[in-house]
Amino acid sequence: VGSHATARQRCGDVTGLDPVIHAEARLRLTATLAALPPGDRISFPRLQEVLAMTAGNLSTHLRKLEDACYVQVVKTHRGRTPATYLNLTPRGRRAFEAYTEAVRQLLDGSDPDTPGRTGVG
Amino acid sequence: MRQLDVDSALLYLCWGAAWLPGYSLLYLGSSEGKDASIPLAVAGWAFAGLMVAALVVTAAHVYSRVHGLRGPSSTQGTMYGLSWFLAFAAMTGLGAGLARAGMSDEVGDLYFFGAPGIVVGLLYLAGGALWLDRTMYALGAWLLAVFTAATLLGTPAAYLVAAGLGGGGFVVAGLWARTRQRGSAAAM
Repeated sequence: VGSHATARQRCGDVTGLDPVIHAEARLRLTATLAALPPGDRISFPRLQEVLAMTAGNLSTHLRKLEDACYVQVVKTHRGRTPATYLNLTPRGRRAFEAYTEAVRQLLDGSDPDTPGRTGVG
Repeated sequence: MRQLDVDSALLYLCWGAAWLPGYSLLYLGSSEGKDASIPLAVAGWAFAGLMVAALVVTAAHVYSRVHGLRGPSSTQGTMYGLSWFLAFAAMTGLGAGLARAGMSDEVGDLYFFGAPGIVVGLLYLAGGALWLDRTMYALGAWLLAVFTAATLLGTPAAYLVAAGLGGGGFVVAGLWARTRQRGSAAAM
């Protein structure tokens, strides 16, 4: 919660949507990584396949998420070939949860028929 | 993320599609003297072919969904997959031991009918517990009941029970799992 609040203050983001996640490619990327159970990792080529992104494009967005400490990049070897595995850090997972919560609140707030607004629910 | 999950509905339907005709053929193959009977060897090979085909589809599907993943889930899946191999090897070995000890052909037929069904049922129970999958657990319990009851009936009737209630059970589980997938997709 703390990191998200400070990011919001620093960037002056009126909607409260984390700008690191709030770009279509990074949102899809983060959502895919968030779908993995904690502790699981996905290889770079598989992630590329799932998201249908080019290697260059994926690297660029991964770098931004890594810089924010949202994604952990683990480089290892399978036999002689290098392999890169990725996973969301606990901080990245919290940021994604805060992001989805912010979107939900935003959508609920814009809908006058929402039970929460009318007090029916 | 559906692309990273094994589609259990697809696998149940695949095994239902193999069991229904497979066990029906074994029934026809062991119903000697009846109009619709076919040679047992033909039925046996057709059954084996259907099982291998379903196994290949299962392995290819699971690989397509889980390749490139590492971690606790991957380890769980590997251990579970290995359990199938170990259980079937032990079941076959047990049958060989019983045959050496003088098990009759009739009892042997019944053992090699019932034991694989019990192994499948137990492994579905384990899988249901492992992934908190109630459909899988229920299917496991159902298969245990079906194969126990069918073994009590004896062959060839047992094959017909396995085709209808066993293969049919897979089809019902597959359709049920598919409906639930649609429901959860609509709720998102």
